Amino acid sequence: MAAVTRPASAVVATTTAAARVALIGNPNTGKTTLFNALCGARAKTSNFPGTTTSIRRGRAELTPGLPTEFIDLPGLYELQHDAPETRIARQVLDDVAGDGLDAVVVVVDACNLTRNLVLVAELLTHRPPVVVALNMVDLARRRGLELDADALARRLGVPVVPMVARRGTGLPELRAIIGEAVARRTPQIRPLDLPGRDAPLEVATEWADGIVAEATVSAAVAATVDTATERLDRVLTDPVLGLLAFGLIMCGLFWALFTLATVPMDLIEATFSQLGGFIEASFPAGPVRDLLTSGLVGGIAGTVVFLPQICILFFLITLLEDTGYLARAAFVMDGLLARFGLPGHAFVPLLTSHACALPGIMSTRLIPDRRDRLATILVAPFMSCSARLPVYVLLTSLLFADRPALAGLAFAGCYVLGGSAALLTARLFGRTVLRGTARPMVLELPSYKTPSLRNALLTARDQGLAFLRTAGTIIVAICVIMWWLSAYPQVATPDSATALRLQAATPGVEAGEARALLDEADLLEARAAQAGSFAGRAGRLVQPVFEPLGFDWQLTVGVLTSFLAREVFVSTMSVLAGAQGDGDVDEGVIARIRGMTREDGRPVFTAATAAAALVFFVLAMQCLPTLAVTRKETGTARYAVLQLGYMSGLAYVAAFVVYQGLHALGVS
Amino acid sequence: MAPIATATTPALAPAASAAIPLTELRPGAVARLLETRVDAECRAQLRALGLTDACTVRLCKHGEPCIIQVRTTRIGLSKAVASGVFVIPDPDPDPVS
Repeated sequence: MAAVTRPASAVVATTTAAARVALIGNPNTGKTTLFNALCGARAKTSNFPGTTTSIRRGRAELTPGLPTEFIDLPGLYELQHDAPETRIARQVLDDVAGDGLDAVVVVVDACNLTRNLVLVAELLTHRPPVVVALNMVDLARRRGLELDADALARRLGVPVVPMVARRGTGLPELRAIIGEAVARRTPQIRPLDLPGRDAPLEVATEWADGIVAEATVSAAVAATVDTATERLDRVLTDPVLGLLAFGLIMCGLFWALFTLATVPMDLIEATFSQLGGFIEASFPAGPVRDLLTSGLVGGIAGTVVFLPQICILFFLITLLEDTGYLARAAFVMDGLLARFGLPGHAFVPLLTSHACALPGIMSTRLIPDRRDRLATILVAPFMSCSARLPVYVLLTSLLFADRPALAGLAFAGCYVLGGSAALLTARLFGRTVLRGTARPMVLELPSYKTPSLRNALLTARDQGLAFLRTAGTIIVAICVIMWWLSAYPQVATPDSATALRLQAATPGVEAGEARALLDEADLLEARAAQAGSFAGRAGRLVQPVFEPLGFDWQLTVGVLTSFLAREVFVSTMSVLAGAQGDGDVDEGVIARIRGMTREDGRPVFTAATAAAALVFFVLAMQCLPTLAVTRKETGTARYAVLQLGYMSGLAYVAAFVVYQGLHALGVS
Repeated sequence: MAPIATATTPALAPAASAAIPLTELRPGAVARLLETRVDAECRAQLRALGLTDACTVRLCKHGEPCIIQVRTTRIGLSKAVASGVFVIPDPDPDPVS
């Protein structure tokens, strides 16, 4: 059978590995921990072909000279259930593509043996040899449950290896046994009373119960009531105390995220600016240098700068998930979020999106149901991310120049507006595009455990790499295109700038004065370049569309260029205002932007326009990287298009209402 | 919501009439599962977690979530689901607890 050659598989990528071993098991059995212990850092996460369910593959030498590919199948309770993860598992087990699994390692939680054996029963009806990894025997022992692994092995007709994957106990034995199973490919000694593949769960459960009774040496009655877990659960899922604990834990998480991410982010920015400086110094001025510094280095820096947040977030979330707390937290938030058609699980992605929508959307992988996951992805970018901060600072200070209290209030209002828009949109989508409500929550509450640092580190690394591989390439491409649009076609130097330069070069002009004149000339040039570029011309072309919002052509250019990333708005506006084109919002920049005038001499930012622009930036999907990640995570461009269309449409309408409303009230 | 029918056939009457939803079970009490009046997806989820026909359920905590224990598995259910899970309380409470 194995000798039959078949076309390369689309289901499990063909490799030259000699042996192919799949890991399967219930959720919360320590399957990922075992996978990490077996493969170490050589694992790769990828989406299962044609789905958005990710599976991990890793290679390791099982025994010297026996290279093996391990496939970490998604956690599942039983194979009959119709869900994406069970379909994938069945495809791999049934050898649909003819890749031939050499063995299946089923990871079994010693504390939940009956339910885990139901899955073992199902696996025994499939072809590949089965090895049972009886995990967490230490936890079971602590609860007074002693199991006889040999009796279990005899009864199941397959090898059983007792182990503690987290500490590596039993790992060498497991490797050896898998090696034997792979090498010999011995047929399974199927238990005579094994329930058939389509037997009802009741039959399989009864069978499993019988086996557990036979394999149990001592089972204290206490094993059924775990008082410590009971007490912790009572507190952590309490409507008041639970919410308090949730608030504290989330504050801690985000405090750690922001504090820990600042250092590497600053380091990345400094490194790339040095790199830019180095290129600037070593290349002659011209389009190649511009492309390298502004386009490529700028684009890569703009992508890599998200990396610390993504890695640290996944590190912290994995730690939290490992402790068993996340399942409890999901219930605490479920009551609130369910009213808007969002699952309790959505709280991590939504909170994270306040830092950045990219890691927020990536963390929706925690959400089991696809509809719920889509709903969360679609609304996550409404949360006011850190890239909106400089825009909010600029616009609120333009709006309430000498009234910092009101500016602060408007600032907070932006966060509230974004959050409410997300919740109401989720509700709207639940009644239209994503018909249905969030699934009423049914979740296993896993035992509380000490988290594994190694798991968390590996997950952070995997997610970071996945981000760089897929989103990264798109983001860099977008950055280069946007740079080109705002830098080309290059316009002739304006006469006024030439005149200033001549004046600076005149003998007798003081060095300081000459410097000032040259700076002034640079600014005039930048302004002319901005206005003459494709983006600038597009601004003039598109301006009539934004006329009803009170935006002039300069503000329209700001909106268009910030489509790449919102923070670009500030640097574009400062270039147009004739200030230095960096993204820092300081007093000088604000003053200059406030002084900007339209062609008819009226100020660009009237109160009504500033308010409309503020509302526009809260709601608009001004972030191409987010669209790229949405496309990747949903597996289709459709949802990215919906997100863009809906958010831009809503932003436009809301800004229109604000501008026209204020006008009607007499605020110009 | 429509009133819940207590019995469908005379044969089921004695058992079904004693059935109560999980939401009415006393914390710490043990009961036997009679039926789940929830949608198919939810039922499949409950069964996968071990809530098979006639299994023994212990109620750990009421509210949101309602926490139950089936064998050694602790399961959290939102109230909406818990009110659709019908059990027959064990007439003879565990003397140990």
